[in-house]
Amino acid sequence: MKKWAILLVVTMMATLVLSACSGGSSDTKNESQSGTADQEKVQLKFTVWGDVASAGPEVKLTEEFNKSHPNIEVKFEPVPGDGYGTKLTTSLAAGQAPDVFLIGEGDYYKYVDKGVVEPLDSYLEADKSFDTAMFQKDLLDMGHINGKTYYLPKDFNPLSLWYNKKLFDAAGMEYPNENWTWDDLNAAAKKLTLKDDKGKITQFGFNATKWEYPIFTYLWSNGTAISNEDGTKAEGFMNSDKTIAAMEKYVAMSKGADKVSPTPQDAETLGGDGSMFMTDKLAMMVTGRWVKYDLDRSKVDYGTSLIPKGADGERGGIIAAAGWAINANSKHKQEAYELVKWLSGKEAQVLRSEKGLVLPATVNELEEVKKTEVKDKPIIDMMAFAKKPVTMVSSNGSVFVEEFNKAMEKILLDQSSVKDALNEAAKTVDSKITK
Amino acid sequence: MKRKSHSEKAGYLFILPWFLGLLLFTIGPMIFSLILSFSKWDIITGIGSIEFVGLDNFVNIFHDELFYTSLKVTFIFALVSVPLYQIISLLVAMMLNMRTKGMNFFRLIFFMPSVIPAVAVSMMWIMILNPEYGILNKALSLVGIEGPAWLQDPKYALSALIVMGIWGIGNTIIIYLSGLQGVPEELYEAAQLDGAGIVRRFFSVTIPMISPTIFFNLIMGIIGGFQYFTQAFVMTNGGPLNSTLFYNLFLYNKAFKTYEMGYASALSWILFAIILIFTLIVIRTSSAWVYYNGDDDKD
Repeated sequence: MKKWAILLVVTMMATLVLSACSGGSSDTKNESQSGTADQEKVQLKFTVWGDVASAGPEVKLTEEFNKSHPNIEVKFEPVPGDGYGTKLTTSLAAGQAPDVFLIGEGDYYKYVDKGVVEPLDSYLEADKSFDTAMFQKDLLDMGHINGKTYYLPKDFNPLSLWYNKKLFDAAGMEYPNENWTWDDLNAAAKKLTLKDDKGKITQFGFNATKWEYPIFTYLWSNGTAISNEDGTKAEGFMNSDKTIAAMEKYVAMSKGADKVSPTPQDAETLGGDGSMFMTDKLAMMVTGRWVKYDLDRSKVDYGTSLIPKGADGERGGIIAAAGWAINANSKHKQEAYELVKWLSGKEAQVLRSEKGLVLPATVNELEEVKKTEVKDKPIIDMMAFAKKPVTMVSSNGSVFVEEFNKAMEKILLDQSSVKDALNEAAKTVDSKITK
Repeated sequence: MKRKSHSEKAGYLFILPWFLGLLLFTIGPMIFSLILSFSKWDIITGIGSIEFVGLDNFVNIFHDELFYTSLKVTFIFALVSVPLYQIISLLVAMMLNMRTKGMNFFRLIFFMPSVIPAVAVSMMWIMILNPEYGILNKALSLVGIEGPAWLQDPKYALSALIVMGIWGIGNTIIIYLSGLQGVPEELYEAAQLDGAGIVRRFFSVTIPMISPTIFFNLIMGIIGGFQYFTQAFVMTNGGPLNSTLFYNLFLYNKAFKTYEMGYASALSWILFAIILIFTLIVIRTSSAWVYYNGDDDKD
């Protein structure tokens, strides 16, 4: 009776142990085999966020890279978008991060600040065959921190003004143009906001979102911002008279008698601005180019325009960009550099922009896109007005954004006036970043 | 003698895999997090950058406004939901204990929600609670009530989550049901002969007889209530205005959004202490109200 039990357990444990061992040994065997065959083939890993099932061009780029580089074996390991930051951070902590990874403008400064990203300058200088002049200068400049280059661009997504042509036509109005100011937008939005007999709004003119990026462009066009230039001070910026006046106007778009925009709560319950836009319930929104994917699949007839200017003629834009960086702890940095070059290079740019979903980061390829693009031209033009959000200029950036968002939430939920909320937020930011 | 030691060995061998797992995946990380709670570690730069700061984390926590906010949210939730869920599950269990036809079907119906993953349930409730398209407000409008924006309004979000939790009490119901089925029928018959009505029978027979079950469910409920996380994470992410910032959500944000691992570890040990205290209170008072069948035999 008891013997079979002991036997069972021992067998189970043995299988476990053996399978673990054999797994390990077969791995090492593979490595040593390939090593002897190809004079120590270097193993590299790289990762991106996105759809794991169909990671698109990167799969093809990996294959081609492996074919053209017989001494390097690259493995591509994509991570679903939501978990990317956590996965990358924990794998960096454990020392198991991929040799090359994609970073977006939100995390960029933080990673560089912590010293986990390898500066590329020495590699670029030593490599005469590769000229960074092929990239758009502004885009490359965005990646400079303290005068050093830490990534090579993958693609870019400028924010711009998107409008629903059908709703403009129905109201007999002219489409937005490059001379528009925010006041023009507001006036148009009023005409495009329709109510039913009960006074319930059935169509909104504009979405005054609580998302900070469009708000940043709005504040810049009004000659103000939530922080000073290098992201070290909030007092006098986040709560300056200019900011408060501008934000009062902004908030009035989604609250009060002249409401032309859904509140963030309305927008959320109505499925978000993209879905409202596609179902002809929203006439205008400021957002990034990634909405194109959904808009093109719906029946909505849309156009794009430059983000409006402020009263003084200033204009501001933001580019959501991503680039390839090398893990500072990689064992094979030179090979990783080859990979980064390949992933940002001309072939990669062409392949990615083939379906028109992303804009190429290189000058020549973008020129090609410009020739055929009508709808996207204003979006590409927004590039010229791009500024860095506070998260790109300072490791304190996230503190500014967090407190500003909190203040916005309080304001929008009627818990505080614009002035009080921004005063408090500025104070909190400054107390947090001096620590 | 020899046979016995043999079977003992077999027993230890059987639990060995589990025990190794406990050491590796529970005890180990717990010790690590205890160490971390006295340190500052922003994780990205690896183990080498752990910096010991003594009690700093604990001091900072007690000056952190959000700590108190999250404690308040969690306590309100636990104080309301634990008794509420116990009462409702006991009532439902008693209904399901009636020996009528088709009872198995109803038992299935009540238990089924407990099998659905919390994330899926949360997604479903987001739709139900949507003020514009959700069926809850549609139903309310039929009787002339204009429902609020449940999850978007700080006044209602927490209540919405509490009400939603009733959906998931199937497990508790099942445990009560098994407790109820262990109550000997003759006790009810004897009580009935003595003239006890239905209410008297409930309080004098049912409650004492299932008190060990209540005891168990209460402790599990307290632990679950204080560790509430998934639904809030999926549905409100702590908002609006931190009205659903549960303790665990706050902890999660510190650990995996701002990567303050030391701070988050300290928070987790404070939560551990809170749960421990409440559980101990229940256990200490249990001798006064929990009745075990076997107690009489001991005397």
